[in-house]
Amino acid sequence: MARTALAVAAAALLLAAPLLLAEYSLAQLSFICIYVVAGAGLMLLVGYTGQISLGHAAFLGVGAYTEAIAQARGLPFPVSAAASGLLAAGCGALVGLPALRLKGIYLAIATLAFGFIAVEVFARWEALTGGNAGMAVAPVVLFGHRLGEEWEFYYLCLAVAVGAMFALANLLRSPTGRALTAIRDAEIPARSLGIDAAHYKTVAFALSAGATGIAGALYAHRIGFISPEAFDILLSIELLTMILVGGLGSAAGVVFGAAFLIAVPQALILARELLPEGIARQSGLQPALFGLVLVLTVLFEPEGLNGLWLRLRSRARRGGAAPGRRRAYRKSERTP
Amino acid sequence: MAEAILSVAGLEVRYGALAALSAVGLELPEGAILAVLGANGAGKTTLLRALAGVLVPARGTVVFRGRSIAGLPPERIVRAGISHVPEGRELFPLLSVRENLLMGAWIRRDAAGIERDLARLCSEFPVLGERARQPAGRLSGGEQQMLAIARALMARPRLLLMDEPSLGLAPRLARELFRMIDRRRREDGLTVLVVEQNARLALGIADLACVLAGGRVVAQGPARSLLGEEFIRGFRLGDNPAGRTQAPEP
Repeated sequence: MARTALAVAAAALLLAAPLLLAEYSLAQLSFICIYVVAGAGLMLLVGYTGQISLGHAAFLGVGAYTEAIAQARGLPFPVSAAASGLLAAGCGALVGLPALRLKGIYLAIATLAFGFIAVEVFARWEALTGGNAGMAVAPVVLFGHRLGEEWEFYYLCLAVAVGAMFALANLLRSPTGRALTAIRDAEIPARSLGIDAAHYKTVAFALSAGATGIAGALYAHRIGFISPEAFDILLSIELLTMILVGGLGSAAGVVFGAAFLIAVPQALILARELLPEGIARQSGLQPALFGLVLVLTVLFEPEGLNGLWLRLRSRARRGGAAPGRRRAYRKSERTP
Repeated sequence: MAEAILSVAGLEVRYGALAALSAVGLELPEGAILAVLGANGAGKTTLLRALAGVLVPARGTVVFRGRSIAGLPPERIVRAGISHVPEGRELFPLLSVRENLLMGAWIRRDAAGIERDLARLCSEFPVLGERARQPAGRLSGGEQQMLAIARALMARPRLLLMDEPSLGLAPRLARELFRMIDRRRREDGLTVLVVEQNARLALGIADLACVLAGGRVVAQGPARSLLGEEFIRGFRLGDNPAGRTQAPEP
């Protein structure tokens, strides 16, 4: 009951947001929706399949550039956004190949390398991408209507984000979803039950990259101007921070993490006015804060904001009695 | 007894320079239970893993139901009809008991048959039925062991490989488990290869036994013939029975 009420209230607030929020805040909310789409993809790979990627900014970039280039060639948005997703998914399947042999830190390095290669391609393929000079991206045109207003674009982002979360939830309930979590929790036994781990890891990489590519298409329109350095390693780390802080292995954690990722820089802007000038003007405060939160999350709340939320909620229900921590998700550690 | 369902010859498994198994040969007739005994480090688990496809043998042949399966990956081996209950259970702790069992039936597509087997296992292990909706990670150690074996049976294997199924089980549970395995053999013609530390328990239901030491088969024969008190006491105390090539006469 309370759950339904909460969901209805949240839906009403999200739908009414353009009436309630100033244009700037609405733009931030669009950003959150876009990060939710990318986060749903990354969560599938990292949180549910137990693979790691330090190259997801590159998939976002592939999606963004595909969208920008396709739109400039006159393709309608549904087609160009689908192309963004498909092209990124194709890249994801390729990047997934090393995942069949590499694990943990080695896979992280391989995906990191892909990230560097992608940025290099964006910068060097000048005829297509405009190189380091970047590309301007016009607003979305949907069925002949130009989404020039902030609220119009917000509704598009909201719709895609809701779609991505539904897709994630459905996938996790399907046999494919069960195979992915089985590979995460116990790969060898999963294979001994007949699950083709190589096939499902590739599928996970492709789906994850595809969702991130679609997010990239929206991202290109949101920021209005794309250049190679927008998709560097820092963005990959931010995306990873997002799902870790949100809570690995929880769909709700995607939303919490995306909100966190947008809220922190905003809070930092406000906090700067209160800090002593010497600290406030220091560069690198944002990455430092992300790093700090990441460390604190891993140390004290491995289930992230979602875990915190679940505990606070059940504490409120039980009238103060704090339940124990749920079993934390941990990549099983065992020797081969 | 029936014709061999599994024949292993000249099997060698290496961990780098170290040969964990060498020149292992086995013949397992259909419907038989073979107990693999031996001290720690004798190669028992390695043998099971090699048969299950988790380890790739360096040399040797493994023929199962007339088909060579040496070097196949685990997901192909289970489709050939061999299920592996690994050491230490290796359940999916966050999935429910029922979901774990359904994962065991991954290779099957007969929904009705899966439900029937599910019902049968829940009647054999009532606790699994009672806790069907609980996460597997919440079960006690013994219950998890039951679930691991039940999950392997959900694939409807012709040959079941079990690694130390009695480890951590109360003696009464361990006996119950072995009785269930024996019933599967009589009713379904299941063939079983079981690695056990508890030799007396294993030899109680096994037809055949083989003793591994230092990665080699040092004794092989009917289980009854290996039930000699002195012999079992010998390796349970950790003495290496290497050099004994003939099973002692009862």
